[in-house]
Amino acid sequence: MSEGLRTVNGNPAAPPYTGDAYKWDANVTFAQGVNGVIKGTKGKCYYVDEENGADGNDGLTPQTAFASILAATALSRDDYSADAEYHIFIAPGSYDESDDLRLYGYGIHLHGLGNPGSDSGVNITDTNVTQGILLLAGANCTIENIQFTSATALPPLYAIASDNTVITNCVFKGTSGTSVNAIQGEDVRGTEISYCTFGVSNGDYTNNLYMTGGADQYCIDSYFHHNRISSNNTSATGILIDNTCVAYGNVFDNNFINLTGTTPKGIDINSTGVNLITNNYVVITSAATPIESASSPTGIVGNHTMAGSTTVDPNEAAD
Amino acid sequence: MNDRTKEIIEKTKAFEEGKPVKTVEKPVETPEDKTADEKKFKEETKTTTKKKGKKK
Repeated sequence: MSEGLRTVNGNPAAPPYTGDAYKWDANVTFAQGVNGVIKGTKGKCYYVDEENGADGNDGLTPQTAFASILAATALSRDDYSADAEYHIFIAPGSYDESDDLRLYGYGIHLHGLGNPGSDSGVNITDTNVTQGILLLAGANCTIENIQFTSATALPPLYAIASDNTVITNCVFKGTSGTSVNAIQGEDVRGTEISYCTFGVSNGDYTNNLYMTGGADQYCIDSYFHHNRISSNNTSATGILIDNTCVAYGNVFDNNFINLTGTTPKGIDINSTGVNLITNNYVVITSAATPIESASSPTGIVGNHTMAGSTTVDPNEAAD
Repeated sequence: MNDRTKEIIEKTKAFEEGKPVKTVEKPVETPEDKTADEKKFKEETKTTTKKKGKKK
């Protein structure tokens, strides 16, 4: 079988750029074995391959892939229609983009092929970026199976305004002593961040999941679960929400946070909105605070926390 | 285009221009507000008690 987009019966599907043969809202199978439903009337599938592609290609098939992710996001952004769907399939490789990747718009999906990383999957670096590797401002987007490698103080993922977006199975690899925030959010709603790894050996961040404060900063109805966060930064935080961020309706569940610096905080919710913090396992330096919440009630229920070798009740440490 | 979409576009534009932007949704109470309210409540309670004492 030749490579290319296929319909459910296994026959090669006509590329979307040739006319009516390609049907949106139909089940399709891609050459990589990914099954899905492509929705919308304006959307497209783009392919990126840093090794075999070229930005002069049309990017519409694996054989005519772009070389840079930037070439694909440039054609996918600024569509705010309800049925916008742009699926960008990124072949394994290390991508050193020439500018920030702007996911501005609706229905932009970045699919890294393979497991995230520079050897067997997708790795994106921050050598040339000015605000962050990925700037997210839109809704109904997906970011999956991608490793972000930071060598600067800029965040790999900057959520300017993110609604109904899924960020899953990504790896955030920093540079110890340099990298500050892994995910920095200003306005995050109905978004899921799950199964991600934050920090690796000698590659940690100060703040890993950080919702900033100030006028019009929000973190609402979002779900942060099954993430693995580690850092030995002196004042590291696993999950941090600023006191002037309007934060409520969020669930922090089943995260494993291991912080070994001098004065870290595992989960630090400074906002007064009601959130649920449950079933997390937080291992932290002796006498440090594993979990605290400014909310009343705190929403801290059934977590497992250790400070040094002592099991501590996070409710005792809450303020 | 709904209000939230307009807001996202405005926020994106403001971010690119390095400016803050106001959102449609009204913020809930902040810790600073809560502290101020508690302080006000305590002061009011204190004043009421004093008045009662003077009447006696």
